Amino acid sequence: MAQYIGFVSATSNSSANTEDTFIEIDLPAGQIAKIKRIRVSTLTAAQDGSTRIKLCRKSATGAGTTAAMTEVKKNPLSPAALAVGTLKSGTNTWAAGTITDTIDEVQVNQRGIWEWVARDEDDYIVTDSGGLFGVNIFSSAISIVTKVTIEWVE
Amino acid sequence: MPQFITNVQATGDAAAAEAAFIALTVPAGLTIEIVRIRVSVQTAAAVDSIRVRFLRCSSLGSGPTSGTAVKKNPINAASLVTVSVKNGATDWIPGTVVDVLEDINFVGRSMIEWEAINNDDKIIMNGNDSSNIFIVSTNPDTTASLLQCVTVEWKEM
Repeated sequence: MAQYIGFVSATSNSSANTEDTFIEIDLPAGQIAKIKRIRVSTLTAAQDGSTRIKLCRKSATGAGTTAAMTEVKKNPLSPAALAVGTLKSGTNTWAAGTITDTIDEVQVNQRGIWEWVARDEDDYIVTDSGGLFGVNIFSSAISIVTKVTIEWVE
Repeated sequence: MPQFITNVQATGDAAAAEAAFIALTVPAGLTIEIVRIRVSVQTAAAVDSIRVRFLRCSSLGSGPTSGTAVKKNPINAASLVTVSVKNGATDWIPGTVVDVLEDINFVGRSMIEWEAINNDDKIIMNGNDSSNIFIVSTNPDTTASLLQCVTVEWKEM
């Protein structure tokens, strides 16, 4: 299967502990993706706050100003990704969207890093067919520059 | 095998008091394999030493509410396990403990994530056993009502 990676570096909201989408992938009809790796880290130095991370299947994206993802092939011989990736754009807000399944939630201190890697094929997070998967972030402090990476196979 | 995940965010009980956060009750005829458990802290800059225990129990204890078993793959059948989660700030003391499978502490600015490294390492729960309830409990040493997040993942056979 072809594997792809997308990432974003963007700023959390100007109010603390409010939910923003940071990254989404949107599958075309009849297509699924299997999520294999997600990483969240903090670029703003010396923070001691808490980042809450929510992994979710959605039925609709949220309102906001976004940017297009460049879906990078892990193998350059692979075809282009079918998933359409969308990223948080700088300090612009991007609402949570309509969440159908909250698959996982975790908090990480902003001096640390959190990385989830599927331990085997049963552990993959599978999207709905033609569905939408997103990583949403809450920060206990305002305007924290946060980096999010996602990898998936199609 | 189908894999499921459940998660809760809730506040701990009094300081230095053990509180259950998630319980999986396995029905007769079913065996499950627990493959991942994570405990993290939402309260910022927490300095507590947080004790975490993985327990096989024969009773649930009083206080939880119903949780949700989310499918990792949406085409799988629904989970057969009954999930119970801590209900906000409501106290929930684990029921009758039969086996303590893990007992570990971590500081509140970090987290603990246990993951089975191979098949032998999985925590097996059998619905035909009298101790058919798996519980994850936490116990922060100095802070009451510490906001924590707990995740458990398992496969059903």
